[in-house]
Amino acid sequence: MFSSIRSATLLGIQGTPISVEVHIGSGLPGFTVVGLPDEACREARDRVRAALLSSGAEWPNKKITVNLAPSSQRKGGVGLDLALAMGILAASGQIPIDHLAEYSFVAELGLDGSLRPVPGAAPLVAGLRDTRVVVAPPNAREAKVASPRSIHCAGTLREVVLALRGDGEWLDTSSQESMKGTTHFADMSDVRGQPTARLAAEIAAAGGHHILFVGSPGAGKTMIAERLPGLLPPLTNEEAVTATMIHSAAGASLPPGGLITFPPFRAPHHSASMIAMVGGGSSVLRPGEASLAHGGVLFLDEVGEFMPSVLDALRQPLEEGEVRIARASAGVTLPARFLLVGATNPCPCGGGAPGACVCNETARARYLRRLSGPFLDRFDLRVAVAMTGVEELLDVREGEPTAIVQERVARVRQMSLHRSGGVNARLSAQELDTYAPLTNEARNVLRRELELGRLTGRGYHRIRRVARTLADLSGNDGEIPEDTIRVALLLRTRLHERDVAI
Amino acid sequence: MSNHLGLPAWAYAAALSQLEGMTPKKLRIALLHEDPEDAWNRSISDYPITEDSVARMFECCEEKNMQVVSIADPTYPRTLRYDPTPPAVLFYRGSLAALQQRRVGIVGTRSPTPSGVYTAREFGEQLAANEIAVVSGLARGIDGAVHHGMKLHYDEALPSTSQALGKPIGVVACGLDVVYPKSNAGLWNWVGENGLLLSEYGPGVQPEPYRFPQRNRIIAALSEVVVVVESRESGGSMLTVAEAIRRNIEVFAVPGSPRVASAGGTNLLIQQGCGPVTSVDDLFAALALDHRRTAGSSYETRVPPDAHDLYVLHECQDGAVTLDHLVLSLRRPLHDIAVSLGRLEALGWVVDTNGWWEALMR
Repeated sequence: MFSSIRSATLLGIQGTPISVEVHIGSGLPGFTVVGLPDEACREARDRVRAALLSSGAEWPNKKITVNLAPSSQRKGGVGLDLALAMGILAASGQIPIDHLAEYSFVAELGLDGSLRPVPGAAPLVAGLRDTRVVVAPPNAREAKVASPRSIHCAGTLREVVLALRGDGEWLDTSSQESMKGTTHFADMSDVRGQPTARLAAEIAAAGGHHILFVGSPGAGKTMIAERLPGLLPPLTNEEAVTATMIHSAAGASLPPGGLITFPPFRAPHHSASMIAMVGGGSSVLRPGEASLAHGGVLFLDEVGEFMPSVLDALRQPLEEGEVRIARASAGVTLPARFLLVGATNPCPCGGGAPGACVCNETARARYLRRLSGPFLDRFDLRVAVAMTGVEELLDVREGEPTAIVQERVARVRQMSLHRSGGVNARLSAQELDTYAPLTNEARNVLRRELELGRLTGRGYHRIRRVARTLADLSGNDGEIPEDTIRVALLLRTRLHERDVAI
Repeated sequence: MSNHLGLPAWAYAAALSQLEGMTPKKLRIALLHEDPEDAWNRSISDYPITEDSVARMFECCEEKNMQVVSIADPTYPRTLRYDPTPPAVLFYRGSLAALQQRRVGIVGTRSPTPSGVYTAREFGEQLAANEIAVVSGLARGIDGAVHHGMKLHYDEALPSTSQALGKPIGVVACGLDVVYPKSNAGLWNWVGENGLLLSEYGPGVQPEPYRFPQRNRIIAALSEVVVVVESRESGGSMLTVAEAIRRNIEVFAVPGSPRVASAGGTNLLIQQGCGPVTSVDDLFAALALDHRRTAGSSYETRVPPDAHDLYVLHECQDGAVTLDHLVLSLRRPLHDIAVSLGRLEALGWVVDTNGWWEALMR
């Protein structure tokens, strides 16, 4: 009258194995679940009872006790429904226990006995190695990313029981669709004119430099930002699996093949909360936008409108490539290495040419202050984007397509990988001295900027990193010449000196 | 003139001007027709005040280095005495003798283009060199730039020649001890030390928005001609212009590009008949001075640009342009243009505002 069924629960992007122990004994008929279940877990009682009865199984009118082991760990979510049902069937002798030994179960149950998908199927399955995992059909693709060979699918509880007894077949899940998705990014050829912004986007992609677009509404900031992930190289196998795990755990949509192979593009609205941005939540510690953008682009439109605390929370992932979330019950580390792309207007009215802005000084100062110091400093590239001229807009010739730019980007990424083992944006100050030496003329240009106080010490290093990428793009592997430094300086617009110094 | 406490008449006048409920008109009539002390004593019955406030005002002005002149004093500026709405009491630092010089009022927008700033600064420098006083409001933008230009000339000129320089005259809309805007604090003190810093408001009075139009009428009244360097179609400078016209003071405007919003007001003024000003010589002519005094003297101290960079400079001459515009219209690679812009910027020929490049030409 006892059974133990394997399932898993989610914490961050890790599936933790859980034993669902069911005991059926004499006593007043009742059904209790112990072992720190959350509300959704506790409600499983009613779902499971209805699902069993709908499937033609018998409900044991006895004292049923369910324990979720290890009992000290909080369990959340609805993925334990099927395991619970199987445990009751086994403990009441409706299916032989030994048939269940090598299986585990991850699915929600409907009242009619159907199997429903759960968020985080991929990491849950990954946490259940060495077993055959039964999941709902919509979860099959992502589950196979984690464990390609041991996934079984069934549409209803009844089908699961029949297949286990050997009286029926599992659903065929050998997917017709290929595992590879196709790219869906808009093409750079749509961008007319805008040579500066195009170059900046190319540098950002090639060197992994965070980039801030500053410009009037309608100038094309968002248009270019949306095309940036297309310039990034496709994800490596390892990155793809990680990205898929993150998306699965967050319940975000996955491409048709299940595996995310192209760099993700996330553009949260500026009302995003801290937890939405970096992850968290009560029991499951769901990944946030920063993690969802792992390996791709995190685009913050109207970046000044985000809550300052939310922007500050991005500093850790920007530095370390991961978010460490600590809560009283548990702590997790979520990967979050992304390319940060920001967009902002120069002032509340949208600005434009000097003398065209109609904001008063206080409003303008307040607007720019929102993007202050340390955060602004993370952007290697700060590019003024101006409205495309009429001639360029009407021009029928297309801009350079993504494919060609991407080739150059890939080449530079290879170069920097061989040179320093990473992208140029992550060169340390010492590495810069070795890998990005300056010619005398270039050094003089930077010396003047430093003397004028227009460049900080940190800005000095950032300019050299951008210049390294720029030189790499033009095929120059050696010393950095003056013109490269000049361009790098132009791609770092000063924002806070808007008031003309008198 | 002084009573048994030994307080001077000006302290009574100053204290009267700060009474709550005292209107400019009442103050003017009181000071013109009776001794300040008598006026004060008579007012004691009308207002809940004590003798202390006079002593406090006296100490405050002494401590903060403010002088006071009332409309009844013989030293009160003549131009203001015959004004339709003269301020009855003036607080000042520096010397009223600055008003003996020929005086040009120069005003403009608080958010100018770099070339507007450049023009204002150049006018300030040349007027200082030619012994002409400049009246302005010490605000952000054009106002500050013109006095800054004078300061540049003072800094260059030898100390011995400073007697023959044009004086800065700053008229402000708050107490002399309340510096506004803060960013002009250095200039504020410099004007008080080298020229005349003037306000109709007493110590501690804050710069409320309604005080600025009041201040503008004094700028207009103290000027022989008024020049608007750059202004939108509405704004403080246009109010100064209206005050000047009311007083039959000639108004000039510096023409700007029709595509620059902050030149909209000055261009409108020219359309309506104001004289255009493109150099300081035009101002000498307006003051009936010999404009040949500047003939032959060049104020261009910048190193001429490299011939290779001229094409970039020319492209920036007609209003601010973006880097994109330069790349597309000159059909040159971005790094070429970057180098040219860098050289031109180092020599002071072009200036960058948030990614917009503009030539600074005479």
